[in-house]
Parts: sequence; structure tokens; C-alpha cells
Amino acid sequence: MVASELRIGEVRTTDQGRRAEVEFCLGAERYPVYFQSPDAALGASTEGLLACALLPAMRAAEALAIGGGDGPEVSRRLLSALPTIQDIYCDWEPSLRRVEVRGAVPAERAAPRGARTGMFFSGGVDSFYTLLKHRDEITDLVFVRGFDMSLESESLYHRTSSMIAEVGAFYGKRVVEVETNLRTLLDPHVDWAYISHGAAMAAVGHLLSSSLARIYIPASQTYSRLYVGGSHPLLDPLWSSEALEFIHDGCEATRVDKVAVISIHEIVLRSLRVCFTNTDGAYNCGRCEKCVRTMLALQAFGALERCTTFDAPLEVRNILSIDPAPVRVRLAAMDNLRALEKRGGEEEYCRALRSVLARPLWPGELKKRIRAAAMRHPVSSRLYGLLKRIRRALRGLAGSAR
Amino acid sequence: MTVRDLCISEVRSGDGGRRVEVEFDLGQEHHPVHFSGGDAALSPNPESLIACALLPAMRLADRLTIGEEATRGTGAEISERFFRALSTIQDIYHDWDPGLRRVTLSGVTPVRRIRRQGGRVGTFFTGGVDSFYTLLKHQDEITDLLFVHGFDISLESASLRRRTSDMIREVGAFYGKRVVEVETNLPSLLGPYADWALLAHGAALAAVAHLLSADLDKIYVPASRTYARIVPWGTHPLLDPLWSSEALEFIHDGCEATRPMKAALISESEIALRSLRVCFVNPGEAYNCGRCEKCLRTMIALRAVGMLERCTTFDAPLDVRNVVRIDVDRAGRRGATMDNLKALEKKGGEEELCRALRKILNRPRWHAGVKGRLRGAAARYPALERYYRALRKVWR
Repeated sequence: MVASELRIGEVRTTDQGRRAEVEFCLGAERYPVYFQSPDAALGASTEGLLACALLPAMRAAEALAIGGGDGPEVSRRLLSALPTIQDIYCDWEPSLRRVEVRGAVPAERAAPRGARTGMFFSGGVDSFYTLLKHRDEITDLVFVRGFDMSLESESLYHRTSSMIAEVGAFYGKRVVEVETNLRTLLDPHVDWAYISHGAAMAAVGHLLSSSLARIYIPASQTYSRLYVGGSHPLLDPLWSSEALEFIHDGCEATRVDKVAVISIHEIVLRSLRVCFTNTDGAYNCGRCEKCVRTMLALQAFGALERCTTFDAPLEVRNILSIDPAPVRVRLAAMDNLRALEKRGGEEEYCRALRSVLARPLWPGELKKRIRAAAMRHPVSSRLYGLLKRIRRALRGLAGSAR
Repeated sequence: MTVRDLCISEVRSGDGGRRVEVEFDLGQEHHPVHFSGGDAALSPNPESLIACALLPAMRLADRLTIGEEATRGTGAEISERFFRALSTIQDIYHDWDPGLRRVTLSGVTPVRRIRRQGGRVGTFFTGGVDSFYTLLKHQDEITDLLFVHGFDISLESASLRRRTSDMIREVGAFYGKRVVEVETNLPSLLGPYADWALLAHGAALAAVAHLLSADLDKIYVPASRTYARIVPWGTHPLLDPLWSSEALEFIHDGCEATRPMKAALISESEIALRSLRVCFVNPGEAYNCGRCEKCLRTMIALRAVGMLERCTTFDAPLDVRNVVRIDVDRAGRRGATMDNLKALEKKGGEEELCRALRKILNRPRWHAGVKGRLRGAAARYPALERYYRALRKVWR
């Protein structure tokens, strides 16, 4: 059922501005969301709240209302980009509807006093590439607990946090950690990887906009291979305000190109974190498609042996278990195959990749159709998410049994 | 190592500023390019010259130079915004086609151009679905319709050019817009170095718009793909805005609408239905052949909104036998076909056409793979091309 509006409540900031809490009301449902950071003050940015609430509103409401006094101010630049942001989301996911934003008063935001430049840093290939490319300009590494890493993953969080602290210290950058339960608002309404993670990063960026003037979002796609994904070179800059510029960075390089650049740095090889599966809290499981894809690229530049962050060695059976149906997986496999062929002497891995690429695509197509059908309705999308989590847990159990 | 230089060696203006001739030199090769503005004055500037020469330079040279003769020894001033974006433009082209390499630019001085706010807003207008959609969507704002002879219609196609020109003038008069027709042989410079559809036509449009930038503040480039289906293509929502200067804003417009959605909007306009021009095949200088994939795609979209019968510009009726011949695995056609199928299913009562579309969508992919390889081989070896064409005829 569609609610008449999604209302953003008053923001309460405590702990000297290091914790911000806000309630989102959708009909009778209440979603309390918090953000906290031990390292930086979080402003009660209306732009950030708008980024949090837009997608749930587009899924489940007719309008988005910003509360708090008479007419809170919102960046004029962001407000004028909102129709295009909504156009993009509606085209990507036709079950989302354009909503009216009520109560916002357009205002020219003042540029921040400082000139700090941040970047979202997770420790992955894209993050390191952007950091190395703009190391003279970047001053802050922003890491968010609660996005790709769940709030329950204590040991994984501590390991990642100390890795990022080490990288920050090595390059002389300030590390800003933010913790949030924003996904409790987003996940019931939109797919995280497919649609919502870009808006979530925009929300965090705006909450930090009192100290940042620009923020880089490392790209995972290239210009020639753009696909629908929450963070996108067309979408990210649209979240900018007069005070904060979002820059989607790194579309000019493939993953293999990026690995070639970053793998000559020792700190990268002892910090790299690419796994989202994290079976049993593993830092990099070494078995999932993303781990295997990265390990193959490292192998192509002779750096895999020096990279100490994978929990399992590169095995042919893990390469063979890759599902080639998603186009981006297939293209990444082709890039790796080319790089390995160029290096020479990697016939076993090349054979495995060729066999993956030669496999029929219909099982993947079927999966895609089921997913698209499930995403059409909130109930089925929740059920689909639940089944995915169960499947992941079962895989984890199977992995640990091995 | 010798640096290969593509040099813009000479720029001449004539006919009261209505004609511009440019010499592009690459070693011993000289490429003369001309632009004629008809009623409009053309002002050659470094932005337009660089848009013309960038792709050939990226293919063959290490450096792109604007010569002293071309700037009358004054040093070419270039928009700072345009100059900064050139790096990303080259990143995009290089990523799309690794055979294109980044080049350095010499002989220019970046400056902040002054925005004149003259209030004129142009749109590139060919008479197609995308053009009409952008015109109707922004009809209160758009003041000028720009059509370029020599781009999608070759300079030799006299009768087709005349008919198209008449159509655009009629549309311009109907909506009260000024029509600017430019004639150029620019594709003769670009053609040998970059595929027109895949790469070059966006840069060519940018070159023409900058030549008219003394008059225009903003120019719309109608989109042919939606946000979810963007692929490397000469005009592109990431690329087009990068051609902007402080004085002229490029806007890639219409990515939010599929072809059936655009057809629904334009079919409310009688003049669109009697002017629509979508065909690029134009056998025998036909206005719309009614048989090629693009004609069929448009006719199906019009049928889906119940307006095909009122559209008078197709030379052949919509024939299911032609529809089943469409190869959906070429150049993003699959998405467009799916959009049409969805629109027809929603309308209802078009079972025969729906069946034909389902048939081509469900055709096994190996079929397209084999065809693609044959086509590729034929393109590589001209001797094979004749046999390939003969084979296709027999197959049909």
C-alpha cells in the first residue's frame, strides 16, 4: 500500500554533534535512523536527510515531507537536480515513482570554510586506485560501518578499522569513521547493490559537509561498461550542493588497469579488502567471485603471492564456480584472461577462465528474471532478500564445513 | 622520437561570415573542411576546431596544435571549462576505443569565456522521434532548430536534402522557431579515423554548435537511449555536457523516456505525424523506407500508441515479415524491442506483432554470434563482402 507521504522528523544531535538521530515516518511505520562518528562533527544536513529518504519515498509514498519548523532550507542545486535523480531511478527501476518534495525552501548553500577533500574508502581496488591517483588532494578517508559491512560483524569491523587507520597514517590522511543503521530504512524498499548505496553515500557525504568541500566516490565501472548501479557517474554528481561536490572517479580504468597501478605498493598488498561475502567473518574469503576476480588480476601482475589478505589460495575450482551470466562478471573474466595471457605461463588459470566464458547463459538469465519479478512488489522483494540471506548463510556453512 | 602533430593550419571566413574553411594538416596530408551557415553567421573558435580535430588526432597523432596562421598570430583563447573537460573527454574516447590515445594540446590559452545571456536556445533537429520529443518537451524554451546537411544525409542526396529541409522549415514555422541549416563536409575528415555512429557524430555536433555560439546560450542534443541502456555512442549523457564552455551549455536530453513513451508524446502533434523522419538507410532517397530496423522500431512504437495509421511518412506499411528479420542483438536493439513489446502488450489486440517480437527476442544468441562473425569477417576482407551480401539476399 502506498502511504500519502514519508515524513522526515526532527534531527537530534548529541555528543557534541558526533551523533545524529532522526525518525522517518511512513504511514504508521517508524524508522529511527542514527549516524555517529568518533572523528568528525555531523551536521543536521537536510540534503543528507533527503538522500536517505528519497528512495523509500519513491517506493512507498506519494510525497516526501521535510519537517522541522516552517520550511527547512535545502540546497537549490540539489533541489534542481532532484527531477533528474528521480528520472534516473524511475528508468532503472520502473516500480519506483516520482514524488513531490514538500516543505523544502531552496537556498544557496555557502561554500565550506575549509578545503578538505574526502573519499569513501573501503580498502578495495577502486578505493586504493582513487586514493593513489588523488593522493595530493585527498585529506580524509571516510569509512562507513553499516554499509557493506553489517553492524553485527565485530571482528571484521575491528580488522578493517585498524587497516584503514594504518593506511591513513601511512599516507598522512585523517580517517573519518561513521556508523549508521541507515540500511534499516533503505533495505525494506530498494535493493542495496542495485539502487540504494549511492544515495546512502550521498547522505553520509552531506552529513560531513561542514568540513568537506569535495568528496570522491571510487568507480567500479568503466565508461564503456556502464550498468545500473547505485553509484554511477551520471548520478553521483547530481547529489552535489553548492557546498559539497561529489565526484565519481576512476571510470577510465578497468579493474585490471587499477590492479596494475596499485599492486606495486606494499601497503596495498597488506591491506586490500575486496570481499562482501565475508564467510565466517573472513576479511577476504578467497573463494567468492569478487575475491577470485581480484586474485586473478593480482596474479596477472605477479603480485598475488605478496598479497597477504586472502584467507584461501587461488584455486581453479573456485574459478570454475563463477557464474558467467552477469555481463559485468563475464567482462571482468575476459579482462583477467587477456592480462593472464599477456603475462604468459598461467595456462591452468587461463583454461579455467575460458571454460567459464564458454558456459551457457540461460541459468543466469532465469535468475535475473526472477529477481526483476521479485523487486516489483515490496512484499516479494523482502521475501527475495530473506531468501538471499538464507542462501548466503547456507553457503557460509558449506564453506566452513569444507 | 618524432612527435606527430595534427595541425589546424588555416581558418578562413567568407561570405559575410556565413562560410568557414579550415585546413587540417597531418604530415603531408591536408584535409580541407568547410561549413556554410545559410542564414546564420558562423564564428570559428578554438572549441569548434578542437571538436573537429580531436578524434583524428587521437587516432594518429601525439599532439593537436592550433597554428599561428589559424589564429592570425594572436594565440587562440579557449574556454577554461572546455579545456579542463578535454581530459575526461579523451578518457571516455580512449576507454571506448583503446586505439584512440590521449594527445596534448598546444597553441591555446585557457580563458574564462563571458556568458552573454542572449536567450537563444537551440536543439539539433533531424525530424526524428528523439528530436520531436525534445522540441515538444522544451518548446517554450527552444528558439532555434539546427539541422546539419552532410551528417546523417550525405551532401550528394539532393532530393532527400530538399525534402528534409522543407519539412524542418515547416515545423519551424509551425512552432515559431528559427531554422538554422548548416552544410559541411566534416564527416570526410572524421570518417577515416572514427566510426560515425559509435564515436564521431557527437564531436561533430559539438563543432557545429560552437560555430554558432555567438548566437546560442544553450543547445539540446536529443538522446536516443534511456539511462538504463546507455552504451558507448557518439552522443552520450556523460560526454555531451563536457563539450560545454562558459558561454554555451550542452544538454543531452530525453534519457528518461523510452521510444514508445516518446511516440506517445509526439503523436499528440499532427505536424509531427506528417513530418516524422527516422530512416538512415534511405534506399532510392526514400524519406522513410518502412523496412529497415529503425523504421520498423518507430512504426511499432506508433502502433503501440494507436497512431501509426495517422502517420503519413512511411513508404511501406508495417509488415510482420520485415519485423521477424530484425537482428535484435545489434547496437542495443534488444532493449528497444523489449520496450515496444511491453507497450504493445499493454495496448492489447496486437497479438501477431507481439508474437513476431517475442520470436526475435527469443532467437538463440548463437544465431546472432555466427551472424556477427560473418559480418565482421566480411568487413575485414572486402573480397568477402560481395559474397556476404549475395548470401544475405539468397537467405531473404
